[in-house]
Amino acid sequence: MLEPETEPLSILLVEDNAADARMIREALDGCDVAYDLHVAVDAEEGLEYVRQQGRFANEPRPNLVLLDLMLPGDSGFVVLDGIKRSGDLYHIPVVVLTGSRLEQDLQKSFSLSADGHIRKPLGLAPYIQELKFALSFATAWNVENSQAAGTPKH
Amino acid sequence: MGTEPGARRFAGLANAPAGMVATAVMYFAVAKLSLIFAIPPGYATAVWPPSGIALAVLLLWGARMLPGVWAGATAVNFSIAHAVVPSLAIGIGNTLEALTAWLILRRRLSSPRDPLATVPDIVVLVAASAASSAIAASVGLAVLFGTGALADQSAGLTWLTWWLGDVTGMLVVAPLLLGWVRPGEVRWTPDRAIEIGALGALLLGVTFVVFGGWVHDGAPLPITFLILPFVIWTAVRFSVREVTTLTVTVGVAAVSLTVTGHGPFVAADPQQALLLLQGFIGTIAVTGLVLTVLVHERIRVAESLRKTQHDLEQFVYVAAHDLQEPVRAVINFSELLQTRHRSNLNAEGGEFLEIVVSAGAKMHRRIEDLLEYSRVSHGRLQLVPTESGRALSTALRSLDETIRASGATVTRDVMPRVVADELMISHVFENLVGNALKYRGEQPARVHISARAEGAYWRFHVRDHGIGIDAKHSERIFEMYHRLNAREKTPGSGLGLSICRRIIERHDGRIWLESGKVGHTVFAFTIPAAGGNENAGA
Repeated sequence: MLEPETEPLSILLVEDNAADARMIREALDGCDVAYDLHVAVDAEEGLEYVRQQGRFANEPRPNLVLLDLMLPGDSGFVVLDGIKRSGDLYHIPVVVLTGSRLEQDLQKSFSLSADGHIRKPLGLAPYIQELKFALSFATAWNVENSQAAGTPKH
Repeated sequence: MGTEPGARRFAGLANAPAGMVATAVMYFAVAKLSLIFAIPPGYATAVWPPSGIALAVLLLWGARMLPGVWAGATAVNFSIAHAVVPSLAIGIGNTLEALTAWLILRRRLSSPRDPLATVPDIVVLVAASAASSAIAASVGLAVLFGTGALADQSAGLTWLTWWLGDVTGMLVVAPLLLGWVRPGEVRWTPDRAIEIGALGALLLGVTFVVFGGWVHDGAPLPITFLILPFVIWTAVRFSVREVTTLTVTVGVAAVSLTVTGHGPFVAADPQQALLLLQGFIGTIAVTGLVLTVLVHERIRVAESLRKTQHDLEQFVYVAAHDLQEPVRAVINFSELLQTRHRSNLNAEGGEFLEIVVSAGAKMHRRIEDLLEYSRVSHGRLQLVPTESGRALSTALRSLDETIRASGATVTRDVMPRVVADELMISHVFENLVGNALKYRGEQPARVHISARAEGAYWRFHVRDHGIGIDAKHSERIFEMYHRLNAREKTPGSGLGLSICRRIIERHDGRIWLESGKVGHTVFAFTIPAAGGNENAGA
């Protein structure tokens, strides 16, 4: 049987720290999933990207948003709120990926309807494990979406 | 806190000749008013308030007001003696007095914008009043001599009375005006208003008893000391404004009652009565001022200390939090280097990389501990009746792996109910039991946790049979970053016991090393008992 011919997952990572972005890329590579990653360095760019505005007009709508909270300027919560309050975008899974250990950040993530909240782990293996969990949201959404479209792929 | 807002309120006035006119009028009016209470009337006053007005005006509006002072003083003297030249001369003496006091204070005040805010300021005020009043008294005396108004033999006493009157006037009136012009320091609540109402009523009553009429065996009782508690009460509970108002109130009552022949200061010799009044009013003025300034200095210091501590804790938290990010990168990428590129490094490169990896891990642990310390230091605490046994179980569960791996035996008594934050207390248990497991010596660790009632507290013991701690270190082990063992022998950042102490202190308890003997190490701590529950022995 042929492998299902899936499009690579389109992932938006909103992250200003280059080292963390690189590590997330490493971890995604370890997840055995085809993906396209766009890294936005602040909340404004992140929102423009999901809204496909300006220079991102021709970019695909992401299947998953990985969101850092501590960003220069507006915090990641602004992106989360912008996505989850939009009639067009709210179904895009958003997983918060943060260095913060504050309980109130976790609560705020979920009160703003984040799909997941992950504390940035130490070491590649734990990172891969956490990202697989994050990717499960994207995959689940994809299946639903393609079934809803009535075009099961073989 | 500064006088600035108050001073600015009058700034417009100070720029206009109106300021000078106001100064002169005020000086003249208060002087005439106080002469009513002179002994004998119209002659020498116990307190000469105009000298205080002159000083306050200069402190608030500056030397530009000097002509106003001079005009007021000259007019007062002319109204008494009806002689032009002597009045002008005495007026100059009074003006020089104000100028001298102002110059001394200006140079010596700790903050010219907030005069009389510290105890040294009050000392300077006393010294400046004493020095400058000598000028006015000397000039005045010389004029009286020159005009033949004064007899030789009474010169010394007249000088003393004149001098003391001016000194007291400055000490009583200058702080009063400054206190009322600058913003108040008391946060008024209904309770405070009731308190000062009661204070005022009691004070008035006592003042009239003391100076008015408690006569025993035909002589008034010398019970002036009864005023002192009110001075202290006002000084400690209120501020310069209230304490100077008290001094003026008591002063006016004392002077007017003495003048009309009442109270303990009435003496055969009016000069003596005058001196007694001056001594009394000067004493309560300085006592009240020094005390209230001292109290407010302490309040300010305590506030700034609290703010500093808060800032420092915030700084520790933010710094530690921000350090997490680079440390994560160091750890992650050195690990990647190790797993993927090890073969590209020679032996030395591998060794260096090992050092980076282990240093990164250590840094990570320390930062975690710092964050933990900062969290237990000012995180919200839920002090509610709590089963300490449950907290202990939580702690032992998270130590489960270590306990099993090291073959340790942990035993426990039945644990009591205490008033505590369960999570925090389980941290304490985890730290103490964790330490016992860590410093175990050759044998597998045996740890026992017990509790016994001690008054309103429960005293907990965590006992082990490990390597012990030298008694001379019993205090230092609770300090931040203090470790007794060589760094490499046992892991940990050295913050564990500091964290425990912080937690226990926030629970209103105490923690200490009860015994550090080899084979018998006991840590003890106390936590308030949850009321009325006696289930420990059950």
